[in-house]
Amino acid sequence: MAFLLRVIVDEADAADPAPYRRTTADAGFAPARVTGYLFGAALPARGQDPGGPAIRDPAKRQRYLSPAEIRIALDAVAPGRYRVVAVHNFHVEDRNPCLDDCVAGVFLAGLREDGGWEQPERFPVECRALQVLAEIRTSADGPTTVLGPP
Amino acid sequence: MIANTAERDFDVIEITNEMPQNRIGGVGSVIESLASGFGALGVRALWYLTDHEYQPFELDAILAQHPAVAIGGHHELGYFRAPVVHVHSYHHAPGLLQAVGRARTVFTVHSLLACEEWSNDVDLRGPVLEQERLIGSCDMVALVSAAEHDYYRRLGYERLNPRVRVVHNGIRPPAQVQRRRRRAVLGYCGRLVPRKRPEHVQMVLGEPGFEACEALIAGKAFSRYARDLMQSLGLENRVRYLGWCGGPRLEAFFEAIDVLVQSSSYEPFGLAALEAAARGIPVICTPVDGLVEVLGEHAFYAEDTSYEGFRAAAQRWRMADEAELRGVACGARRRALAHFTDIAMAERYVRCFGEFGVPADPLERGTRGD
Repeated sequence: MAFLLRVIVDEADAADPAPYRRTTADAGFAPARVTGYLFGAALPARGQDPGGPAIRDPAKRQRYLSPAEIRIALDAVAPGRYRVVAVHNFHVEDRNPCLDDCVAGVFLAGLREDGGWEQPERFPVECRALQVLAEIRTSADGPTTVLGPP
Repeated sequence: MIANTAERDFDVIEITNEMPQNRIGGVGSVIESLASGFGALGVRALWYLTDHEYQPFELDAILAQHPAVAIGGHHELGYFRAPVVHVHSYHHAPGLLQAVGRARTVFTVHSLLACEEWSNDVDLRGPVLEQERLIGSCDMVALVSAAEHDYYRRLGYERLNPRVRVVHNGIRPPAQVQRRRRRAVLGYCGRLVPRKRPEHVQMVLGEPGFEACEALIAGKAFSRYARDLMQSLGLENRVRYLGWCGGPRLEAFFEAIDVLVQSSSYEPFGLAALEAAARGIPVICTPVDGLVEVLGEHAFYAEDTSYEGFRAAAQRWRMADEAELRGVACGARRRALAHFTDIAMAERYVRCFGEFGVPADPLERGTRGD
């Protein structure tokens, strides 16, 4: 089971005026255009090894796992081009006592109006990018095209 | 409304947006401690979850794991009765206090949003106004430190509500205490917001004497600033972000660190510092607000909230001899266990409720389970 956790939007002032802007509330947050989606497993990690694939980072001696299969709900995604990015999911309370293991999520990074890819580190997603897995194009009435690894 | 109790009469109704389940912030931890404290005192509380952001499966888990929980809207509050309604909400739909009927209301301000606004450099006008409205509408305001009371006065909030009590938080004392002899792992725990200065723990790794140290960071919200800081300082191999830790993972975090760093410019209480102190972990921190009230003289304090001040305090920790380190850790732990337990917090709230005629003794209330 998987579900949509958060969306990220284009803002008029895309540059961060402060390092952690708007991390405590959504006051005055006026979405202009959705440019990213975060998907994650519904169940928080509790220590069991889910046995599925993991994203590994040998430099940090950490691996990133999902306690359940993550499915991207493409019907909830606006048509466009996206990068499929594996992220460290900071939105789920992690109860796994193994500090080498962290919770993985999937971020669909859309193309911003400035031509750059959306970043999962931006508010309100604020997750850490780990690895770009693929690039896809979704359309309103046609199939999703996998454009391949970037 | 969904409830896991058939009872309708309670000593207190606790209204919250957050339970100890996939916590949003520190309030969930306070609720957990309050529940255990009330349980020890025989106080019968209903935990009324409203205006929340939980998924259905999380609500199922809350109902299965916590007794006396109801989940619903304000208009359904009237189904339950209690002489006091205790509000923890950061945000709520209009009409909350009108829905409690004749019950007296105590509002715990877990942090003053006006202070969050300036200390984090964020625009919180809407939530600040909402909090001010609630302060002005309830019968009593509980603040989590004397420092918060001072801010409350300076903000002019006594005009909104002069009936204020300071109720320090508390935690269930941890079972395990390990002496920290190493000087290898620095830990940070909390939301990764500007006022908590999470970057300081990373920056100090670049200082002389810290070459062999690493940092563990437990907290929510990974920003571009955090990413860029690690890259610019070349710290990718020495800083591990653990995500939003709870339960056994939080315990593992505390077992892994040798010192806790809290370099906040504003800290209403200092729950993470209390958790560390209770485990015998020394704390390096700024001399501000709730941190001073929780730790007393038993911490490696910075002179001010600057990075330079923090760096000097971190060097004092690094150079401290075994006896000094033990003295600081033991002193903080003694203080934590003497003043800031879950039961001590519950007793303080019972005294507040007593001002509205709620008996402090469970036998007098006739509600003790045995």
